[in-house]
Amino acid sequence: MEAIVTSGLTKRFGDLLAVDGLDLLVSSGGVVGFVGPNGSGKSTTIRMLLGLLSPTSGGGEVLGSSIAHPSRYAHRVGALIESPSFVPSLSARANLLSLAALRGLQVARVDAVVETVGLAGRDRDLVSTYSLGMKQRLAIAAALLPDPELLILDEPTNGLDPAGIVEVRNLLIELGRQGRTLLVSSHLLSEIEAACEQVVIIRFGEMLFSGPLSELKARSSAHIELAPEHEQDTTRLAELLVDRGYAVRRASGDVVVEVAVSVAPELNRIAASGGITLRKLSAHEETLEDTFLQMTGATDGGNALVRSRQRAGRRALFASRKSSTGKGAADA
Amino acid sequence: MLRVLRSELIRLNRPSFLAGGIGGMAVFGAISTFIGFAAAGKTGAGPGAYIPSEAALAAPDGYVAGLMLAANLIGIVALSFWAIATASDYSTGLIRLLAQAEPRRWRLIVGKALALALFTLAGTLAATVAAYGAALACAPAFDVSTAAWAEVLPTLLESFRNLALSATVWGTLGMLIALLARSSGVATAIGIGYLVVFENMIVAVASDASDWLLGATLTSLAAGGTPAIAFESALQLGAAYFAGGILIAVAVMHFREITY
Repeated sequence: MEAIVTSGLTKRFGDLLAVDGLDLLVSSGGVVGFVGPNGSGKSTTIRMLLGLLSPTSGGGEVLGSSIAHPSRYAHRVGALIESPSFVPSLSARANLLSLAALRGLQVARVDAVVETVGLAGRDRDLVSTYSLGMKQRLAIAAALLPDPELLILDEPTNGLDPAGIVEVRNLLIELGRQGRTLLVSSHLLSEIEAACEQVVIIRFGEMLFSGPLSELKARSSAHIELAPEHEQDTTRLAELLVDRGYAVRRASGDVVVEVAVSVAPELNRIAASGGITLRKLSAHEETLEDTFLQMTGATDGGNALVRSRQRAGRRALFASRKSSTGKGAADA
Repeated sequence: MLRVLRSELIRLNRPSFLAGGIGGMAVFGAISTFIGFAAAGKTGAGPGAYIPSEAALAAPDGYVAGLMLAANLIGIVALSFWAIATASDYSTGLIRLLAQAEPRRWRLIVGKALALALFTLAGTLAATVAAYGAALACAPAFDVSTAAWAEVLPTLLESFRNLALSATVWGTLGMLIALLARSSGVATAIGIGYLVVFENMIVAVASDASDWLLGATLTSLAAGGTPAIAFESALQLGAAYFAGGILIAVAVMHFREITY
């Protein structure tokens, strides 16, 4: 069964197309990373799934119920949306009791979630005295209150120190092992890589990839750069490698072979067998981050630029169509 | 609905609300009574200010005469606290959690109104008791005879009822403006500005408007009727303002997208 399915999910704020016909499929069970650069539409998508925003068009289902009727699944879903949101002048416990009362839950659930996130002993302190990391854990506790089948966490490691990040990551993995479905949005790929089995990548509200993390990693390319001690041997080195079945290219005086880094010793042996001593044998493997950046664009600024260019392109196309239509009409 | 009410009551149970809201209303009740006794019979007060005469203070219900001085102040306190309770849901981002946990948003607003109405009842009760206590202390100090004071409990209950109804409608206005502006400061400023300046301007232009305008209606409601608006009319108008405010708030809550 699918925990989340969307079909052509679209959200427009005036001229801004925040989510563009998103077809999303998240299977039940496990931790799924929801990745995209800032402003890519992750939070807007999450808000539509939780009933905080209405889609402009398209739709979807959460735990088998339409997102047009969030009250049908709200009791089975816990969420952390953007930043932790609590009454600072109340204790953490009072904040959780208030949310538990709203959901019709027993006080025992508050004790349980406080224990789960490691806030026992500090739960009677005012939220205003909490560090950002503690507030983040409190927000996860609030999300866990309904003992949810589906947890949607928007940037759960935001503002945490390295120890806090590891703590939250382990908590997410543990929650995933309990059979829950976790949709974890983040722009920290290292976190996604460490905690998630599945990943969904979006940009400009469009889905770029959805599948196992291993499949995404398999898309990563690697190459090895070789340079002989004597420059005049470069062509002979390239010919030796081609003879052994490798595809090579030349770049900046180096011979570049597009192979996995594990092949480096073999390439070294081939060169040695031809009497060539290597001055350089450099293996390069694309990280998940490289793959992600290739898919989504370099930076937020880059995205903004690309988007702005796309918009300008669309405007130009629209203008040219208009003018050609006008010309046609005039000609007629 | 009861879930929302319980949830709201837990969040209202904080020192700033209890001391500032309920305590504030009680202090205004006591101070206004003191001023009523201290300034009894004096003329030259500002436009619209009501200062009881010495005879009014010595009348059978003289112990609540000072309370009427505080009615609009208590109304503004109610407006401010309803506005703070509403706007802080937005400023803290709590509205995201609340609306996710209870997607039927009309329940959120009606439950909040119920909780704040209970809060207002507690505040106006405290104000009534404080005003009576102040009257008992002030009467001998300002040589006002208490010989005619009678039927204390029924009169106090009636005053409390009128004050609570008036303050609740003020509060509803505060909640509605805060919901629209997402700011308690803006709501309070609009409330005070309307009461002190705008309504007087409207009445100066169209004097008949004082028969139904919000400030005049709620003053009449709190006082148990005025020459301009009879209590029954004030009750009907107040109910209409309350219902209208709640209906608009429910509509805003239902249709508004939660983007913050």
